[in-house]
Amino acid sequence: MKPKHLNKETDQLQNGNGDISASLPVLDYLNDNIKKSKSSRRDFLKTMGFTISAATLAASCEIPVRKALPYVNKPVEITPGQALYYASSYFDGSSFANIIVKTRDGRPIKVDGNPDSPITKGAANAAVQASVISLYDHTRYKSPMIKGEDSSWSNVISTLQSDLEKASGKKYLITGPVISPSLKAAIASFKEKYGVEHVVYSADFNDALLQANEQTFGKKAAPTYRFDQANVIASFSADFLGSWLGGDDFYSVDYSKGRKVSAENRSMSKHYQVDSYLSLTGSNADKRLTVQPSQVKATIFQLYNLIAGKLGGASVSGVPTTENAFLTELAADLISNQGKSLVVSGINDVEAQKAVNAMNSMLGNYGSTIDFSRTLNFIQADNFTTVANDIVNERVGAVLMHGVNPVYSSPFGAKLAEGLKKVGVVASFDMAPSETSAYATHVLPDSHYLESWADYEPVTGSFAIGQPTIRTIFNTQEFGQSLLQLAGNASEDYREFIQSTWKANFGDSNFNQLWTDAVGAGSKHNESVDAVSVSANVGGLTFTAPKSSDLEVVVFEDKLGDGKHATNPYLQELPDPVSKVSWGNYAAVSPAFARANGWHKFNRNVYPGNEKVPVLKVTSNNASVEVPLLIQPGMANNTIAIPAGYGRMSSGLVAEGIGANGFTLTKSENGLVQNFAPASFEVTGKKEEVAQQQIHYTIPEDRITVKETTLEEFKKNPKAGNEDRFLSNFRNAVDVTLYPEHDFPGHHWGMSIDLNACYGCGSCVVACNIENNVPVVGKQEVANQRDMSWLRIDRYFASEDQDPKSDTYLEDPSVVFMPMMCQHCDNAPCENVCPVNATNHSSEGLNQMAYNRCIGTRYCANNCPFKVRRFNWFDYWGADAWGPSNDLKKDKATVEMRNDLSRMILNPDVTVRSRGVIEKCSFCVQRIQEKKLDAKLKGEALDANAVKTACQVACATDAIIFGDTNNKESDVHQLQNSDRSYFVLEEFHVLPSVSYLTKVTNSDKALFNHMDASHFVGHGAGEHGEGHGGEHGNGHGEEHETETHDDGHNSGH
Amino acid sequence: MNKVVSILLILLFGFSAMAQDQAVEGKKIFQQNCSSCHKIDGKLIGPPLDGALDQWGGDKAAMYTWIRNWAQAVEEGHPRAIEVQNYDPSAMTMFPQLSDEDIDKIFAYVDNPSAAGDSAPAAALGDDVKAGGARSINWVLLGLLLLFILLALILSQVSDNLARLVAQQDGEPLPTQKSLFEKLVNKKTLGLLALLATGFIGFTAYKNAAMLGRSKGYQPTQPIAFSHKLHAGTLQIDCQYCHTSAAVSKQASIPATNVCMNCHKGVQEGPTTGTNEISKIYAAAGFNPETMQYDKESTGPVEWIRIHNLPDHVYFNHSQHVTAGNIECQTCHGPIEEMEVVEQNSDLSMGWCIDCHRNTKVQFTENAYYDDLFEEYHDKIAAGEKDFFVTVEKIGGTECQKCHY
Repeated sequence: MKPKHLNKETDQLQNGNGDISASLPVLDYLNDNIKKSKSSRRDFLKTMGFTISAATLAASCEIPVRKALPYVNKPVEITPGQALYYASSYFDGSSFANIIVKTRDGRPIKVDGNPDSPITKGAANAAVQASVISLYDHTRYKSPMIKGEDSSWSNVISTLQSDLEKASGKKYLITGPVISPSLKAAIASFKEKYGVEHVVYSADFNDALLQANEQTFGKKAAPTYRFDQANVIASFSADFLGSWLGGDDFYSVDYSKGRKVSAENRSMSKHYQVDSYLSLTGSNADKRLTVQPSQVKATIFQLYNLIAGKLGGASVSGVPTTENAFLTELAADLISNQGKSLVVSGINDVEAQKAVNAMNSMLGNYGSTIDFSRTLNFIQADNFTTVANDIVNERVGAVLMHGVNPVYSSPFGAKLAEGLKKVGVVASFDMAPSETSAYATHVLPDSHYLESWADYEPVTGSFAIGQPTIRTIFNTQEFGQSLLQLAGNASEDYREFIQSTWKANFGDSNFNQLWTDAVGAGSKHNESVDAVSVSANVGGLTFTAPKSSDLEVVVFEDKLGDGKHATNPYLQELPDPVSKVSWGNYAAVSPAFARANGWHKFNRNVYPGNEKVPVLKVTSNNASVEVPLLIQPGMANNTIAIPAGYGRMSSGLVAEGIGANGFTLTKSENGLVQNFAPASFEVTGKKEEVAQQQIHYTIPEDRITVKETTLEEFKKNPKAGNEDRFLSNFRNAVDVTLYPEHDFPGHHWGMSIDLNACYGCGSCVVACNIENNVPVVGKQEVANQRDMSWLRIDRYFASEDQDPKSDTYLEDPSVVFMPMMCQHCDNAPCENVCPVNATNHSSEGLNQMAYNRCIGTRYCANNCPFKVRRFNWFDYWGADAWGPSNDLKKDKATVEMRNDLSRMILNPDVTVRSRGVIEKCSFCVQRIQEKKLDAKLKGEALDANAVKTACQVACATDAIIFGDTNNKESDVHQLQNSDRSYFVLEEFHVLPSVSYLTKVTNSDKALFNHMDASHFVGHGAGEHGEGHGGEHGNGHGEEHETETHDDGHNSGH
Repeated sequence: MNKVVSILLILLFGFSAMAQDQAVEGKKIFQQNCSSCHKIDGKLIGPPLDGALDQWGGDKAAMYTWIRNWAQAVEEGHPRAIEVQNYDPSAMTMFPQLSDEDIDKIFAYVDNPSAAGDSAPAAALGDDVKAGGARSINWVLLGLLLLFILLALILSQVSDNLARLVAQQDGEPLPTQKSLFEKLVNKKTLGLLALLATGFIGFTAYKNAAMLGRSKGYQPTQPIAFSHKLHAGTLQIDCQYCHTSAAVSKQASIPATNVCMNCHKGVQEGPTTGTNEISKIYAAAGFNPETMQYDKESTGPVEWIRIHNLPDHVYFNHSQHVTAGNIECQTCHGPIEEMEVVEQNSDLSMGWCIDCHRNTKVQFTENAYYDDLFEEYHDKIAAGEKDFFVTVEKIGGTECQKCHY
C-alpha cells in the first residue's frame, strides 16, 4: 500500500534526507586528496607527535583554583541549591498569563503557567515560556540616555521635565494597552501635569471588534468567550488558538475541554473554520472552508442571511447568494445549538463584526457562551491614524512611547520615522532598542517584567500582581516609577504606589493580609462580578464588499506577535506549528497555485529536501517585501500569506536581518488597519534556503503513527480506530527478541499523550528546551537538519485526493499534531547498537544516556525508529574548554546564546552537553529524582502523580500526562490502559513507554484511519526509505553516500 | 515476693531507659540551642554546664527563668544571675521556647553524656591506611629479579664454556667469545626491553590519565585560618550548625558570615591566632568590635577556596546522603574534626562512589518511601533471609542516570 506520490525523480532521492543528515564527503576526500598526497605517512607522524605533545601539555596543567563565596547575610528564604518559586504575572501588550517563576540562587531560570490562576488556568504559551531569556538579553538598554549619551536617572528625569514644559504643540503619550490600575493612575497624574494626550496603540487588528461592540451594545470592550460551553464553534479567520484576542493563554484550556473524549464522555464540540490560510486554529478544525481573504466577509454575511432567514431576522442585501454546502450545514448546526454555540471573527471590519454580533445575539449566545460582565480589558485600541498624521505634519512637540513600535508595525512606518526626526522631544520608555526608539532623544529604559513590580486587571474583577524575582540587571526602572518621578513624585516608590492604589480599591482594613495573599497567589479574583446583560442593537446591517483581486496577500501574526518577540532566540527557533519553518518568514501559496506557476518541484510535502527556493517580491499597497516561497497545503487559492513580525532591523543581533517586514503590506482604511489587500508578485531570481524542520525526522509513512476515528464511530465503540491493538497481542509477545526482558521492581516511568487535546502550540517544546539546556542552533544549522530539540511536534497532513499531480491534492488537508520525544522503549533498538554502552536501560524504565561515555558514532540515532536522538555537531553553549569552532561563530544567534549573560538561563541540575555527543529526552530525570528525594526526605510514599515533566507542566490542555505506570493509582496507568491508548510502532516489539490516545474527529471522515494508510502524507524520510526499500528504510543518515555505494554490492534491494 | 521484685526491676529498668531517652533528646536540644556557646565540661563563650545547677544553689526555678529570659532573672535579683550576667560581654540568647521538661532533658544529658552515646571522637574512617608490608615485598621482588638475572648470566657463561669445551673436543673451530655487553645488547633483548617499556609507559599513562582532575589530599591555604579541629573537634559544634543546608539541599553550603557572627560577636579572640583571623570575619561582616555595631562597610564575602570539586556532569545531593541515607559526614570527608586545615580525604572518583553504593545498606525498612516498591526485597526480609540487606545498588543506585543527567 504505497502512497502514489512516492514516484519521483531520482535527483530528489539523491538529496534524500535522514535524521542526522549531511552526507559526509569522506570518499570524495579520500579519493581526491589522500591519493594525491605524497607524504601522508610523514604527515600522520607529525600530527601524532603534535597531538601527543598537546595532550601532555594539557595533562600537565594544574587544576584551576575554584572559589566558593558564601553570602555575607544570607536571606532567610534562600537555601543554596534549592529552587525558589515566585508567583507573578506576564503581560506583553497582547497576551497575559499568571505565571510561576522558578529561581535558582537568585536568578530566574524558568517560567510556567500558574495552575491555580482563575484567569489563565495554568496556560503559558510559547512566548511566555521563552520570555525568561529576554531578561538576559545584553542588547537591552543598560542605562538612561539623553541624545545617545549615557546619563543618570535624576538627570534624565529633570531634563525631560524641563523639555516637556518647554515643548510646544501637541504632546502624545503612546503606549500599548494599559490594564494596570496603578499604571493608569500614574499616567493620569502625569497627563494632568503636562497636558499630554494618552493614546493606546496596538498592531493586533482588534479595533473593529471594539467599534462593533460599541455600536451594537454601547460598550467599547471585548467580552470573554466560553469555548468550553459551546457545542458548535464557528470561526471566521479568528486564530483563537494563536493570536486572536489574547490567544491560546485564554482559550486553549476551555477549547480543549470541549474536545476531550473518553469512554465515559463521548461528546465533543464541532469546530468550523473559515480561513484564507492554514492557521493553527484552522488546522484543528473539524471542517474548514478556504476562501480568499477578501471573501471571508461575504461568507459571514451569507451565514448571517441563512440564520436570519431561519430565525426571523432582517436579511442583508447585496450579499453574494452562491449555494455553499459548508455554510448550510454550519447554519443548521448553529440553529440547533442555540445558546450553546459561538461565532467569532478575526477580520478587522466593523460591518462584519456587527453581523457576527447579530448572529450571536439571534442564537442567544450572550450570557451563555459570551459574557460581558467580565470583559477582556487588554483589548484596547485608539485611532492611531490621527496621531500619525499629527506627527508627520509636524504638529507635535513631544512624543513619549512605551512598549510600542509603530515605525515597524504600523502602515505609516517610513513616514512616521521621518516625522519623528522633526519632533523636539521623543522619549522612549522601552526596555530594548527598536526601530521607533532609535529616534528617541531621551531613553528611560523600563525594567524587564521579571525585575518589576506591577499590577493588572486583565479581566474585569480579576486582579494580578507582578513581582520582581531578581534585582535589576542593568540601570533600569519600572515605567510607572519613571512616570511618577516625571509627575513630580520623586520620592514615591512604585511598589508603595501600587499598594496605595490597591488600598483605594480594596479598602484599608486587613490590607496587609490581602496584599500578602495576592502577592503569594499572583492574583486576586472576585468570585462574583456585577452581572451585565447586554441588549443588542442589530439593526441597520450593511454589506460593502472589500476590494478583491485575482491575487491577494494576507499578513498574519505568528509566534513572534507584532514583532516584539523577534529578539527571542527560542521563539525564532521554535518551528511554526503548521509550516514548520523557523528563523524567517515566507510567502505561503497553495499547491495548485504553485503548480500553475511551475513551482511544483518546491513542494516539500511531495519532494522533501532543503535546497534553495525562489524568492518572491510581493507588492501591495505600494510597498513590497521579498520573501522565499513556501508551498502550504490548506491555503486558499490565489492567495499569498506572509507572517508578520519578522524583518526587525535595529533590534538586537538575533532578529536582525531575519525575514522581511510583513506589516509594510498593511494599509489603514478609515482608521482600521487591514491585513489583506490585492497584490502582485514577481520572481526575483534570487534563491534562499528556508529553515524548515519537518522535512526530516519523520517516520516513514508506511508505518502506523497516528490512529484516527470519527466521533460517530467512537460513540459506537471507544476502541474505534484502535481495534487492531486488541486483536493482536503486540505487547505481550514473547520469544521475539534475543535480548533479555527488563524487570522494573520499583517505578516504571511512562507517559500518555492525548492527540485530541494537543493542538500543536509548541509551548512544551520551548519549556523542554529551557528546562534541559537544549541549545539554540541558528538558521543555518536548522536548515542543515541539525536542530537540537528533544521534543518536537510532528505535523501530519492527510489528503482525500492522493494524486500528488492532481490540483486538489492536499487542498483541504486533515491535520494532526503529534508530540514526539524519546519513547523510552523497554526493548530499545538504540541500546543494542551502542559500542560503548553509553545508552542503556535503567531499572525504572528510563532509556538513559551517559554523555561522558558517548563517543559519537551516532549508531543509536540511525537505529532509532522514532528519530528522536540529537547529535551535538558543535559546542553550542560554549561548554568546551577550547571554545567554539569557527563555523559556529558565523551564526549571530548562537553567538548571542554563548555569552555569559545568556548562559544565566542554564538549569544547574542538567549537564551542558559538549560537542560530539548524542542527547535526547531524559523524561526530565532531574525532576523524577527531585520528587523521589522529596518523598524519601519526608519518609513517605511517592505520590502517584507527583512527578511532572517540563512538557507536561507547560501543556495547558493536559495533553501530556506523565507518571509511574507501575502505580495503579496514577493517571498515566489509567490512561495507558484505556480503550483509546496505543503505542507507536508497538508491532515492532520495541515496547515504548509513551502511549498515545487515538485522535477523534467530529467530521464525516477520519483520513488518518490507518486501516487505509494511503491517505497518509506524513512526508519526508518515507521517500528515502522507499528509495532503499524495505527494512533499510530507516537506515538513512549521514552515511548516505557510502550506503548507496554499498547497495550495489549487496544482494539487498 | 517475686512479683514485687519483678515490678521493682521493671520500674528500675524503665527509669533507666527513660533516663537514657531523656539524655538522647537532651543531646538534640543541647546541640540545637546551647552547643554554639556552651560546653559540658569547659568554658566556651558561656560557662560550662556541668554542675551549673549547683552554682545556682539548686534553685531550679531561678535557673529556668534565667534560661528563658535572663533579663527577668537579673531583675528578680538572684545573685547567681547577676554573677553570670557579668561573665562575658556578650549577652546570652533567650530561649522562651524551652519548656521545663526540655531543660530537664538538657541536664539529663549534661549530667550523663554517655547515656546519649557520647564517647571519644569516632575513629578516623577512610582508606588511607598505608600498606606497611607493600614496600618490603617490592624489595624482595627486586632482589629476586637481580638474583635471576645473575643466575641467567652465570648459566649463559656455563653454557658458553660447555659449548667451547664440546667444540674443543670435536676439533671444531671455537665459537667467538661474546662479551657481557654483546650478550645483553642484541636484537632479542632490545626487542623485549622495548616491549616492556611500551607496556610500562602505557600502564603509567593510563594510571595517571585516570588520576587527571582528581585531587585527593588537596589542602589549600584558606583566606581565614579556620580550624575545624577547634570548632568541630574541641568545641564539638555540630557540622550542620554551620553547614545548614546539608540536610535539606543539594549543597551543604558554606556558612554565611552572619552565622560566624552568632558566636564571634562574643568570642573576639581565638586560642591560637588571637584577633588576627577573627578580625577578617569582622571585616567581611562590617562589624566594629570597638562599638559592637555593624557600622562599617563590608569588604564582601570571604573568598574561600573550594576543596571538593565534582565535575559538572555529576549530580550529587547532600540531603540524599545525609538525611535519606543517614551517612555520617566523616564517611566522605574524613576525620574533619581532627583537621587543622581541611584537606580532601577521598579521591571523589566514580569507582569510589560505586564501591560505596555497592556496599552501603539503604534505609529500606525504615523509610516508608520503599513500602510499596521492590516487593521481592520485602518478601526476602519478611522471610528472614540470612545475610540479605538492601544496598544502594539493589535499588538502582549504580545506574548511569542516578548521578549523570
